[in-house]
Amino acid sequence: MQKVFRTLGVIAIILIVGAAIITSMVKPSNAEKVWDPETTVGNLEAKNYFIVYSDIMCPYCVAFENILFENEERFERYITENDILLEVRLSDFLYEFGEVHAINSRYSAEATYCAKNEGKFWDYYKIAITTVWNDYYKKSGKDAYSELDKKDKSYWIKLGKKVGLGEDFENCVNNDEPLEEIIENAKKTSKLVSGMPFFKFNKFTSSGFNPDGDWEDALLFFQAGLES
Amino acid sequence: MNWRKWLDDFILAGKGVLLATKERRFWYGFIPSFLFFGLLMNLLSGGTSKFSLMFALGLPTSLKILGESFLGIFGYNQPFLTWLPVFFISLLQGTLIGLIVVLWEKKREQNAANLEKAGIITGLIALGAGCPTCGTTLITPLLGAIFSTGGLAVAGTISTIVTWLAIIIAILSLKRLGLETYVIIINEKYMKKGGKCKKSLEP
Repeated sequence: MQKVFRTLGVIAIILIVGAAIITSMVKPSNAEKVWDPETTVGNLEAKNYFIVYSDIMCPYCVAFENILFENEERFERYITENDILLEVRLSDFLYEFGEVHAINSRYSAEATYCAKNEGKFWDYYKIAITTVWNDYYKKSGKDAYSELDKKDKSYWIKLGKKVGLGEDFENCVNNDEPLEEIIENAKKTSKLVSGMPFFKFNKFTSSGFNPDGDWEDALLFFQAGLES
Repeated sequence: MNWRKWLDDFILAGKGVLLATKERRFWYGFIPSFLFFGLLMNLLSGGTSKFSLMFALGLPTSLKILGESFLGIFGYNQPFLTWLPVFFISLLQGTLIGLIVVLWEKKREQNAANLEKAGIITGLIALGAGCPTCGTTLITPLLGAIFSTGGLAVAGTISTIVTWLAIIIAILSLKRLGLETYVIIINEKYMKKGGKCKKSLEP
């Protein structure tokens, strides 16, 4: 009788260990992990998976992303050469959880999501980031967010028109169509992140960015991700 | 509140600082603390990201980051408006420590309390450094531990309060220590002359 229990015990242990090994081997692919392929750049099956959590009302996020857009060619070459998939996870995090509840955090996210739904995420995101950087944060530093927060939806709609977005986009923003998705994403973000921008580059994680940084500073984050 | 007395005290404290700068020991305290504090402020300018990078990227990159942050104290690669407050606060902190060192030599009691206060000032300013709006100050994770995600909702106000509190404590400490230094140095000069006033001032 004792021998039977021992045999059953050994079988149970083997099954548990086997199940654990199989589970750890079957990792979800990058394509399964991304929130939305529209907000990625690079190969979906790339070896390196880098995520940036961002909010357009966060001056440090805009500083980092503006560097990428200012060095677009170099950035795209770097992504390709190093086999990186970069995903931007934008939400209205600072409206939902931040102190000032900057309403333009929500408006800008809504406009970007509306552009995304028309397949123009990167076009819109680029113009939004570079405009906000050049008109506000570059001139007046991180405190410019309070000035920027005086804008209304029309500011973000006008930016959309510059990249060829039309009436559907305008209606989408005015009717708060992507709001539910944005709030859901902000909640998911809050479970991982306490400050913006938040980088999850492979196993390397970090929060914040030097607002006076340049391409070399941005590269350090990519290098840290590749070496992790 | 007697504002005239306050102003006089500040003027005397300023004279005390000037007199202290003639003492070699002042510079022993001032130079290391000015450099250390300036370096710390520059390292914390982007939240904790520079520390994360240093841990992740090894010695050569860490040295590069440290070197750039060090040169940043003197304005290298820094916009004027970013550099100025860091330089000013480091100067204030360095002067305080310099005065404490001078007083330490001249008057050995009470200085543990002064050192403690200087440490509190450094800590408070470091806690408030970074971008409160983005939630990248050192204080945010601390608040997060207490208030969960609600920490970010008060981080900006608390960062601003602690930074201003630190500056006010620093200025008040500077006034008190400067005044004390002035009295001690003048008294020392007087005693060296045998406790006699100048002839012209004698009755």
